Amino acid sequence: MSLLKKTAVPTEEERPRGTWENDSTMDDAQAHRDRTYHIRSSIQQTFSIYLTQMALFSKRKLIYVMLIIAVLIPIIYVLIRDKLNLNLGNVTELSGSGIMGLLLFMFPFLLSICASFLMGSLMPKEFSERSAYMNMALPMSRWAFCLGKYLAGVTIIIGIFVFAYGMAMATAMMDYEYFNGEALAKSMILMLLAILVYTSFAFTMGCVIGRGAGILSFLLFLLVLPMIEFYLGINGNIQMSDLIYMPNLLPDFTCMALGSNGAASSIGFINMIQPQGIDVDDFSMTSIIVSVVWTIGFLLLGMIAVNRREM
Amino acid sequence: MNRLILPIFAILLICISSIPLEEVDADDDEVIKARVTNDSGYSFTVKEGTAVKIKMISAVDNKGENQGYYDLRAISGTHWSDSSRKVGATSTVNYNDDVDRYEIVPTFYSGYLDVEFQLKTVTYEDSPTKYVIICVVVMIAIAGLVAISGRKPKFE
Repeated sequence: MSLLKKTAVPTEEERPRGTWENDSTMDDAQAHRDRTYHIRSSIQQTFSIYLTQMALFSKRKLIYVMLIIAVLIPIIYVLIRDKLNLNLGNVTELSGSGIMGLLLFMFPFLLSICASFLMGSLMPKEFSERSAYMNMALPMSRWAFCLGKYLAGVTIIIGIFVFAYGMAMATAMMDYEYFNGEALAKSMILMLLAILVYTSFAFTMGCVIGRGAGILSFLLFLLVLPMIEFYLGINGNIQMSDLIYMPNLLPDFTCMALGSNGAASSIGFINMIQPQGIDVDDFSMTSIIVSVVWTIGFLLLGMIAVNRREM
Repeated sequence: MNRLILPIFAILLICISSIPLEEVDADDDEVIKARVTNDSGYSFTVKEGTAVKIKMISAVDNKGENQGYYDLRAISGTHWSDSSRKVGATSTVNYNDDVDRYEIVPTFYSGYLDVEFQLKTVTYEDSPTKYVIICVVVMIAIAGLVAISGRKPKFE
């Protein structure tokens, strides 16, 4: 009945007046004339985009799948611990850090998936869902837009793999009390560098080629680049020991630094069957500089591509 | 609800890592160096319950590229072996009642018979506690960022 009830039309006297219709005047404070408005600084813009992207990431299923896989590390270990014969031929793995290396065996494969599909789809999704046309029209620099998105992606991926790392460490601590602290520190640094390298590359691929960047980055990381490097190494074009400078092999080095000979990647499998002379002890400041330059270079390339893009 | 999942995982990590956490007192490294050949052989002992790191360096070219770090927990009767490009070694760990220490006896099987090895053992007791704490702190920080990311913006 209330739907049918008509609201009484206000009379001319009852009708609310706008400020333009009355004679009263407002002072500067009331009219907000004393306020000056500025465009937010680049850092604030970046942080706004960062938080927005973090909120969007909280709805991505891939992140939860990765976290659940990390939770499976101790569960699988406990289930197969008794059946697992760690004597691989003549090799016996007995240290806590070595067990961690085995538990993080899948790290290169999962980082390839996570970085490629999470970072590779960041910018293409903005354009395919048309949200970029709304966001970029705001008084905001495109550099801040790209950087905020990239940093959010890096933060989430670091969160996922630090969680997996912690899980592997906690699992190894069930049976082992002694760890090689030097190896743990080294592999943690390598892991962070690997995340930076992979995310910057996948992000740039997404900025430059748009859709399909995820799968392309994944194939490049896991198969194409390692195979090219391996081929060049076998043919003597590059020394096998020089592979230590290749940033795309950082996830393999993360596992190897812990004492594991192999990892779930093409080079990792080859190294497991026949050690090819990659010695993680050779990892030096030069390798770190190469990785940092790779990250900054690819990130700049991606940001320039977005900056020059015509809407 | 989505934003609460990451903090839940952080709490899960804290729970799992706190169960087996044991404090281990740091001990000074004990370094034993020995130069051995295939013929001479050498055995060295380590304290009970400690881990050792063995570094093998080719005495021929004395280059780091021929070295390998391997760590193992000294358990009586266990065998340990590994090989790299040019060097290969097998070690047996046994408990020696006379000296009340574990004894590691390396026996070599390298295909490069002219290679000599320098074995360096470092006995260390290192706890991963600080690394677990780093992981937990990073997780909590990221979970906090995700949690605040959904706040409504303040308009002044």
